[in-house]
Amino acid sequence: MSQDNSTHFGFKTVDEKEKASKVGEVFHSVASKYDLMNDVMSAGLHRTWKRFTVEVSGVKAGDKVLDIAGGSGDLSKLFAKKVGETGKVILTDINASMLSVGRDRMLDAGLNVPALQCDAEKLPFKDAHFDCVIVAFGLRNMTHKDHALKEMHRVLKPGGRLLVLEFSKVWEPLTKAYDLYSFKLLPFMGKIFAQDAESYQYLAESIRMHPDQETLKQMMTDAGLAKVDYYNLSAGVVALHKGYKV
Amino acid sequence: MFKVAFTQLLSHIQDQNTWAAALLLPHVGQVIEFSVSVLSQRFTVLENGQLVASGETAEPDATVKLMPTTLLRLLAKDEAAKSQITITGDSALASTVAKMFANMRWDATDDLSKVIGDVPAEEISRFSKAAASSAVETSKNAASMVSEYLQEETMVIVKPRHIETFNDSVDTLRGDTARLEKRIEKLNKKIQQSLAVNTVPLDSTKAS
Repeated sequence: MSQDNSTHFGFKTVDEKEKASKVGEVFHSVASKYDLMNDVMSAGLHRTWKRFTVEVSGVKAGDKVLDIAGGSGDLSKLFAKKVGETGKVILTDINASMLSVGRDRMLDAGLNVPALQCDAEKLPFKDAHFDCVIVAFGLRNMTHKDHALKEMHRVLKPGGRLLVLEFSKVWEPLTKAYDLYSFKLLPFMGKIFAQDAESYQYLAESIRMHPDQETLKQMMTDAGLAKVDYYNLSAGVVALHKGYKV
Repeated sequence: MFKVAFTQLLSHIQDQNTWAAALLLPHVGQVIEFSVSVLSQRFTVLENGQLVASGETAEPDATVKLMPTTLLRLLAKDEAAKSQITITGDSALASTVAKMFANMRWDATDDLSKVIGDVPAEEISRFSKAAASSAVETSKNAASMVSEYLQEETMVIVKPRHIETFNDSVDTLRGDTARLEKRIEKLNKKIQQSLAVNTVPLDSTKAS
């Protein structure tokens, strides 16, 4: 494996071609218990972070929203209420297991949200099509984050905004406690609630390998987004980045 | 979590005051900073005309600075306190946001009615308003009673007219002192002159 074609999968180094399938295996394994685990791991905070994301998006009735790596569809559901009947939300995910969970939830909620399986690095949409693109807890799993960000920029209308909700660098004094939680408690909870310690070990490792707030801000700027700003949520456990296409 | 809770509360109140969005729409993407003493908070105008707490790195287009006492006076609807506010940057943005905050009202009855129904919510709201108004009236009376006691009985606090009288007396005294000083100076000069005339030099006595 040449160094140029390698990438990280948690703390491991793997061939770029392998990462997508490995991430796919993880999410296929956790799909059915994904919501339960999210609630357990974040003590329900992920719902607050997602609601905040929708508030900050500035999305209004009639807007077109693309939910990338939307999985179980939490955000699509919230956005669908914001855009109303005149707007449109499209739920996408690369993983069929996760997407089917989201699609079923949309149907159960009586929402007209199309679900589409696609790779965020090759979005099947025309240029300048969406008012808002959102990727929540998905960017860190992508093999080429820079390609994905450029694609998200491409499908945005001028004046449209990209929101990236992702785990980030926690406030320094909390690092030790956070490490203890991530590497000891998280896999243990994964084992108890989802009978899958390995996937949750990957989750903790992938968070550590993900760029910090300032690095991601720079990556978004490099992808062509302007006026990039971020919010630290829960002492930086999670950060919400927002940038505009000009 | 302050930003999250604050943004959600602000958003909820703005949803109840739909006129506010139209007011803010010309300022989409702009950032305003409110600074009260050492505390400051930045707000961003969103694409849907809502105002939310800004992120960590947003640069303000306008800054509004005021002292805590000015804020209290503004909350007490003291119009004169507005002259104490310092605005820098985009003044149109600052005045629009200030106008929005001044006129926005939280419809607590509407929120309560969703939980307990319209009639009890209306009754509780009426009772709360009466209680709040009575509490304000009672505090005003108590404050005026304490101030009267401190002014009239113990003289710890001086009335404005007493200060004016005192200032006038000090001015008069200063004038009188200045005049007295001039007169003493004049008298001293006169004494010096008369002493100079009446004094015969010693060497002239020897010569005669």
